[in-house]
Amino acid sequence: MSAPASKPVRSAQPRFPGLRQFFREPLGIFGLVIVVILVFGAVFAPYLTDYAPNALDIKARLAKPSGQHWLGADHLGRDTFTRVLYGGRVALKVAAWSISLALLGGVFLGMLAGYGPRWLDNLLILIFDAVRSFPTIMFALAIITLTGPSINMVIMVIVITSIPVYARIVRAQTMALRESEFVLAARSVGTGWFRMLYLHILPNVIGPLLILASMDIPVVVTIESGLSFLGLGVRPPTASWGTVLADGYAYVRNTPWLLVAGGVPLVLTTLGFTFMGEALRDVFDPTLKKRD
Amino acid sequence: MWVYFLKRLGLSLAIIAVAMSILFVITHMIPGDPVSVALGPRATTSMKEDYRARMGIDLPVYIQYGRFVSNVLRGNLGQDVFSGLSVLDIVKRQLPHTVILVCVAIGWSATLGIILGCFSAVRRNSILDRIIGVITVGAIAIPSFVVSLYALLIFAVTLRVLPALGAGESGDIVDQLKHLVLPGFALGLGWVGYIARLVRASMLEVMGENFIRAARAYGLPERAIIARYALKIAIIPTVTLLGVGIGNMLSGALFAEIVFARPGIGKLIYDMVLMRNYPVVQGAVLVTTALFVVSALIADIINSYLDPRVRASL
Amino acid sequence: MAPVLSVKNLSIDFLTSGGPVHALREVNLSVPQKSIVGIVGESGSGKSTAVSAVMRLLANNAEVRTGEIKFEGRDILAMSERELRALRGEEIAMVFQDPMTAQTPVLSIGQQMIDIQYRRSLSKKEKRQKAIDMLVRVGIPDASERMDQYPHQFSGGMRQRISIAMSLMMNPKLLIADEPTTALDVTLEAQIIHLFRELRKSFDGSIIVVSHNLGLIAELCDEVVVMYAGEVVERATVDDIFNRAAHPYTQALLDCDPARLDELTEKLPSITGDVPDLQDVPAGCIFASRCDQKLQRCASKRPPVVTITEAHDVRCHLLNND
Repeated sequence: MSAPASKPVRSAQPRFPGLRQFFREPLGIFGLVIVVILVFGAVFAPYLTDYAPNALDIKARLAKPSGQHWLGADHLGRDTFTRVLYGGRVALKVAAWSISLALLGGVFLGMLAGYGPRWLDNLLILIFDAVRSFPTIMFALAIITLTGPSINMVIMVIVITSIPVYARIVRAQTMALRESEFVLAARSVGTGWFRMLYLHILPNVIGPLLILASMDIPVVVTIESGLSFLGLGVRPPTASWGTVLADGYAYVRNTPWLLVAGGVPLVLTTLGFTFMGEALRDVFDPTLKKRD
Repeated sequence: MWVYFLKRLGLSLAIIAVAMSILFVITHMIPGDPVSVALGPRATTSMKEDYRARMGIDLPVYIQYGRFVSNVLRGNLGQDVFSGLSVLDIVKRQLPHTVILVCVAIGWSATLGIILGCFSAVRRNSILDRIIGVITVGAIAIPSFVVSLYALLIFAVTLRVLPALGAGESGDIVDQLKHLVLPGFALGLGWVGYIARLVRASMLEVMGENFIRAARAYGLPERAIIARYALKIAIIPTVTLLGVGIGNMLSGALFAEIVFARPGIGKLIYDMVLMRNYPVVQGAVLVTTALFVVSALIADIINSYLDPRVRASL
Repeated sequence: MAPVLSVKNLSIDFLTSGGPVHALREVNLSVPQKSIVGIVGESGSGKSTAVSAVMRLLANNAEVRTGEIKFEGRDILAMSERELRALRGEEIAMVFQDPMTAQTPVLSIGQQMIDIQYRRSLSKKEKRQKAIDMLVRVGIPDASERMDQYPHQFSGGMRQRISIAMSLMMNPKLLIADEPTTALDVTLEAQIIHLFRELRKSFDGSIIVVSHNLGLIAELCDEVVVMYAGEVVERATVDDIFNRAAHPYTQALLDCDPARLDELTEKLPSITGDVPDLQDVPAGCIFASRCDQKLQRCASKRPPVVTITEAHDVRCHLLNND
């Protein structure tokens, strides 16, 4: 899957040399399968279940798993399986928004810090470190105290605390590339800074960054679940893995099924994206691979 | 060595200063009257007046900022909206519980993690190594608050072997220890996984270095080589991880305290968030942040002691 | 007198995922008492593997197929790890190629030198003094203060001296110097050669010097072993090697050495061809593909070891009159 020989290569490396190699890594495929199942479940939720996620059915209160309710029902008779599927939607939405925005912000600020003047770099690094010094959940709680809970606030907090992480990586790469030969060559023919960043530096930075971002997805989803569990993320009655867990906690002495149903998708998300991400990283940048 | 310490200290103070400023700024960035925003919908008019006067809301922003900074430096983190008690006192009363929990969690998870990591590295690709590998992946994959919930479910509710809620009778050490078991376990489990994997990777890397081969060539016993030559270097990334991970652990402690109804900073913040009691939340977050920055500093100091080359840089 | 070290018919394979690599094949060498033996060969000739085998410091995937290694009559290959550990550092010692990675970065030089003495029952003070004395002998200035410094605070040349000090400290019967000057520049190399010469006067063990640098070998050694692609192709005294080299490879090596060129030239001589793949060892003489004096049978029949004089033998068909 490499570019045809006639096209000029813009910067150092071919784009997709390793996809075939990826498919040789069993854990990576396992991860990919899990990710596909999760995304599928989230996207096609309405077709996979007859129930509505918030539909009450007092008669089915705290039902055990059965043919009717595959994972049982909660204290208001809502079908747990359905709520888990729709919870996946919330997770997907939060992950997609927050990581995209964080990547944009991170790339922008990172390149700014790496390519710009020294004082700007020092200032940005200080701000990054300061933002990173807040324990994420606590920072989220501080902001939510002021604004009230909402899913958008959750996304915003995640974006703010994630940008420094991506920015540092982009900054490091930018600084390294800044002294590399092809950049110096481009500068010697008078390439302006914008073209430089966009054409020469960005393509080399984006690869590892995307892989890291994909391994960040479980972290983001966990934060959303955690906040929703506390009642400070999505507002009830909306279904999220966190709210299912909250209901499970409240009714732990009545039924274990809610807790199991809420926790398993989180664990699967972590396993799936982590395995997939590690396999991708081994394929695209074997130098990062840990000795085994 | 001292120069390094002073530089790092200065950097840490700068970070805390910027963090404080960020907290100050967000109250003013939220749309609406800063006083209502800060004190929440339940504040009475007299509270608001009081707050307005104390914080000097009508004064220019930079004077407010100045007052804020000088207050914090003097230890005055403001007053609780509802009870009038000093925020600092409220926080001080809750802090020890969290610190104990975090220390217990780090203690057992670091010890077990290092031991497992070393074993895995020395007996690489053996059955034991593979088993440890699978267990650690599993341990990392479960978010700590989910571990808390499941630990509660399995050990407290289903099996009834350990107490579910609270911190135990004060004065009764055994009871308090029993109440620490589940939260400490839940908080530390993921860390055992991270640390074991990191120690394994670091040890494998170090053991492949030339100087280890040279040490063997001098006939040094393998145990001494592992403990004094290899581990001393391999442990450095773990120390860094712990220093930086304290923040994560403090967040995890928050959940553990809520799930197990333990007193502590986390529970405090949560209760105050529900009451929209911003001054206390701000004060508690500031204190935890400072704690985090200090522990990262301590981790760096420990590393500079372990690896003399670090002292030469920076 | 019995030789300090006697290696007979040593063959070692490295097991890799692509199949075994036959790194050493029927290697014979012997190190007499109180002498310096040089092992010469290009990269990949197996010289480092051979000396690592003497201390049994090979990689995990190394397998000794045949042969014996006897150190002062004791069978190295049959020893347990504990017995080997008793030998290492005490009776056999090794100086490694890269001085910058030869010492542990997190302990002071003095501490590392004291550690080596753990088998002796001297007091801490005595061990410290012994280390200082050794550092003085190898020419480290201000030894008693610098003992407490860390490796990164020393230059490359100093660190190599420290390695030599650490190796000689316990007065071993055999010192192995694996490319001791390869990582150093020419001036430092001269200093190390000088150091070896000085130490030789007070050191009564034997030394093996491994190098691809003919000049170093000529300066230091009494006897020379020439290796190529895992085999010993020639063994002789240093005089015989440089003046009466019998194996085409040795002759070619000497011809290629820029130090020996008599007249100005634009092209440096080199040996055409490449080292053979050791996973798939060709039949016949290992050097046949690059030899400019080869005979018919060289391609199909492996040459035997031919004795020219008592101290000089060579593995070649040219001198084999059968």
